Amino acid sequence: MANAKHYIFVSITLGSIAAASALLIGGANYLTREKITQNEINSINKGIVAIFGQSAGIIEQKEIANDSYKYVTYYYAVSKEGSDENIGVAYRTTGSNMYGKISLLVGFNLSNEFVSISVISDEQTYAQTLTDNYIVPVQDGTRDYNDVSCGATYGAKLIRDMINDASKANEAQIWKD
Amino acid sequence: MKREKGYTKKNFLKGIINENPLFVSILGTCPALATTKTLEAAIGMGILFTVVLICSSALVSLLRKVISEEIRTPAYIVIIATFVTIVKMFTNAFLPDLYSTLGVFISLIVVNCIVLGRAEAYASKNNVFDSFIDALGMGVGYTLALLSMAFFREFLGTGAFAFGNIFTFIPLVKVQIIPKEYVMSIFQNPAGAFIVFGLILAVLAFIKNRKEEYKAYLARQEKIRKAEEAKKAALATAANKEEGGNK
Amino acid sequence: MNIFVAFVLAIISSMLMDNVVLSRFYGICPFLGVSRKVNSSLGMGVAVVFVIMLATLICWPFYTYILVPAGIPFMDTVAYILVIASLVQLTGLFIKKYSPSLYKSLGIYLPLITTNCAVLGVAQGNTDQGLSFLDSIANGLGTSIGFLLIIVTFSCIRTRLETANTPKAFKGLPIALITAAIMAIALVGLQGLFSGIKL
Repeated sequence: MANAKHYIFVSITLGSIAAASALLIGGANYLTREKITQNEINSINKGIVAIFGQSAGIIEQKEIANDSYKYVTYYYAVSKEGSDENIGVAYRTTGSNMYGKISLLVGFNLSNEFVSISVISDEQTYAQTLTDNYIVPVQDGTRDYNDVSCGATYGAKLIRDMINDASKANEAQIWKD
Repeated sequence: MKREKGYTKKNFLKGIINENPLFVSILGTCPALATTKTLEAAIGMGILFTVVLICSSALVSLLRKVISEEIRTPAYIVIIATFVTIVKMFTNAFLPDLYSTLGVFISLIVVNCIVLGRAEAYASKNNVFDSFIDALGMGVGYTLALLSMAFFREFLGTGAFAFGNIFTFIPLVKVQIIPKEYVMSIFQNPAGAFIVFGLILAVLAFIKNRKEEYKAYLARQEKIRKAEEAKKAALATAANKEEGGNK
Repeated sequence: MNIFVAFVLAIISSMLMDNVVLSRFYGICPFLGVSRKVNSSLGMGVAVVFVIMLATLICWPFYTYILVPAGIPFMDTVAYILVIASLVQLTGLFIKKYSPSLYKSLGIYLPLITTNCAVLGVAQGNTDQGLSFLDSIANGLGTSIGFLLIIVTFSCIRTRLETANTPKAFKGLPIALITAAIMAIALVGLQGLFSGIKL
């Protein structure tokens, strides 16, 4: 009988520790959730600035769920701060392959030419190689984004496909409907 | 309970020098190699690690009478994992750049042998204050070890010290010491991490060997001195005897 | 995309170019601690392959079909470590019952696997990176076989190093770490191997 009591005690302790831990984590999640969402918005704003230069900002955004453009998730119209004059558009694209997922902002100017990309999140296995050999040269304009052989080739191919997808979406002006 | 004087200080210092978790016990090597590319990342990792270690040690010590033998390991794992998850969330919220730099290695603090090891070996047997000091010492010792690796890796690999990339609340400072053309970027690569770690261990072993040799030398000297003294004494007694015989 | 080719590429990639020990730094503790003898490193490697595969097969569906629908994806680390710890215990009991001889050779490594970051690292990485189930299996298989390959190779080199004439300060771990660095450099040379294969 003492044995049974002992086991009940043990399982109650373990259960209460687990419950307390779940509560603590839930509490921490409640405290940090808003801030994390805010960080995401901040990172998109930062990406817009990185593509279009200082004082660029989003004036309009739209969620896009179109099956023929599978990578494109959001559309942003970009303007100079303090004015309504449109200076370009950006698309948020998300895709994944066998090495992980990437989320990018792809920017186009008003004559529908590709300007630059900005990384929102890169969970690729070869993220560092990809950044060093592909993303940074593309951002600097020293590498054509179609040239994907860079040591992290599959991630680069994914990015190229995402840019092409966004470009097609931009030409089709899918945000209009 | 009676305790010797200066125990707290000794308890704190042992984690930094004599029982340094990284360089002496060779524990927690994974983050030591993976997150020491830059000084900033190493500081970040060290702080997160120390926070988890202190919190879990204190809680384990607090609950040491409640947790019985059979459920020790699972209970400790749950406690550690809880603190790691909380620390991970707060990092994601308030230092997103640190979060993305360290990536999965924040979660991997859960399986860091040091945390579980301190919980098993120290916190489960000692009171809260002692466990706190022990964890603090170990955490600081580990952080310093990480920093010393990151120092060489960042200095030799990039030729510069940069601050403000990860802790965005301080202004961006970059001091280029070696011109960019002459840096050895291998120290930023995985291979460089192994080399730096190996060389630091070799230097520490060298110093230890030297100390031992010096001790052996001193012991030898002492032995010779003693032998000589004995000889002298023997001679003196012999002389005394002779003198006595002459008389 | 040819799924089979992609599957094989993912395995080879996580086995060699992105080796778990030498470029991702998971599982350094057993890599340094259990590699003095070839036999023990083989035992450790096989045990790790087994546990990583089981953990991958359980953790990914657990995250996707239980934690996410329940709205608590942030409980992932706690859930994974519990799954892994109980998996290791169960594996130990299972092997002990059905193959005592295997238990004799693997048994002592099993408790060490709970604190091997490779297992939690793979489970966590699979869901953090947003891999599909098939890619997760490829990642688990490649990672664990890569671990086995490297730890056995490394232990072979280390047995030779024991008898080699190394400076006194480098004896033991330091020279082993320098060796690991050279192995890491060799694997870096394989990067970009698949650039020509079209997918």
